Amino acid sequence: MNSTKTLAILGAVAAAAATAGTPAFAANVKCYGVSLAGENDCAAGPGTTCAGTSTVDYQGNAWTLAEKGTCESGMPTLANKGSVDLPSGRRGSLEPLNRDLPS
Amino acid sequence: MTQAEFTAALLDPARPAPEGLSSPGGGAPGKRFDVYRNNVVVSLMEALAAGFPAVAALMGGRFKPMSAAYARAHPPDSPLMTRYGRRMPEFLADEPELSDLARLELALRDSYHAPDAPALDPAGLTELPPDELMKVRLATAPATRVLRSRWPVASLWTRALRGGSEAPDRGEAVLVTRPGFDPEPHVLPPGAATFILALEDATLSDAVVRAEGTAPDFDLTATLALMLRTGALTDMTETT
Repeated sequence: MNSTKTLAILGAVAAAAATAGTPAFAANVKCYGVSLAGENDCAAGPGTTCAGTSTVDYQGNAWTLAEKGTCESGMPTLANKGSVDLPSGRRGSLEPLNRDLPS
Repeated sequence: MTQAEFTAALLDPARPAPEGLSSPGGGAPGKRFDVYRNNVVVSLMEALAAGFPAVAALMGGRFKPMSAAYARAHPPDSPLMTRYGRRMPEFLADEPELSDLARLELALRDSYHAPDAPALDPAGLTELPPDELMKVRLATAPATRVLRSRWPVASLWTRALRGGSEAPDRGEAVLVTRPGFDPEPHVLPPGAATFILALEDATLSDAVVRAEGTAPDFDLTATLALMLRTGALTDMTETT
């Protein structure tokens, strides 16, 4: 491998590392109790009970990806969906909640 | 009645109910069996619609009869429904565009169920001395998939499920990564698929050489940045 080539690869790796920063997913967490009915995340495929299966708003055992650090507030920032103002003193949780479960 | 006879009757509505069934009260069991065999096929059709949402969206009204035919031709071979539909690409072979879209949807599902792996820290790469960087081996995460198609599969998928512009009139190579909990397809620039597949058995510099062999304008910076950002790389090993 000639030195021009080595330099080109070095430069590319440095530039890629700089633009990549920290991996995007480090910034998102599973946040329970914050999604509207039918808008919870998940792509597990058939035979599973997940994506779009929440039947009540802010269902405690359904989750959506939220930006790290915003989940456990009254106004979490949902990944790709913007922030949501939870009504009546509700807060998101990193663990499943027992509130707002479908009857 | 054998189990094979029962299964055959279950999947073929033209067959009579299998011998030896009985109804409570001694009535004919045919009607009850019809209800059961209908529910079996409908539940499999629903599983296919859940597993191939983009194919279903593109086929529209043709998806239902196709999925019923698939369910009868290829009933599940495992009680785990999460992987049902593996033979969809070959089943759709007469429609290569849909067949490749089904391949992408299977890749996304496989990615979803692949084991977790910590993402490679970009700093580790930049700290290597140049000669070691050339010889480093990069490992892709278990949830990473590469797929090449003569059709714009990733654009078709995005348009079918999220809306957006018309798919371009060219083939696409796609990188599936799982940056978090859900897999995402990314359209790859020229040479990138060759580069990523070469990482299987080649050092970083050899993978670059192979990629440039297929695409002189291969963009290493863009490809590596995409892979680092989406957690497609998990590990690096220095070779001597």
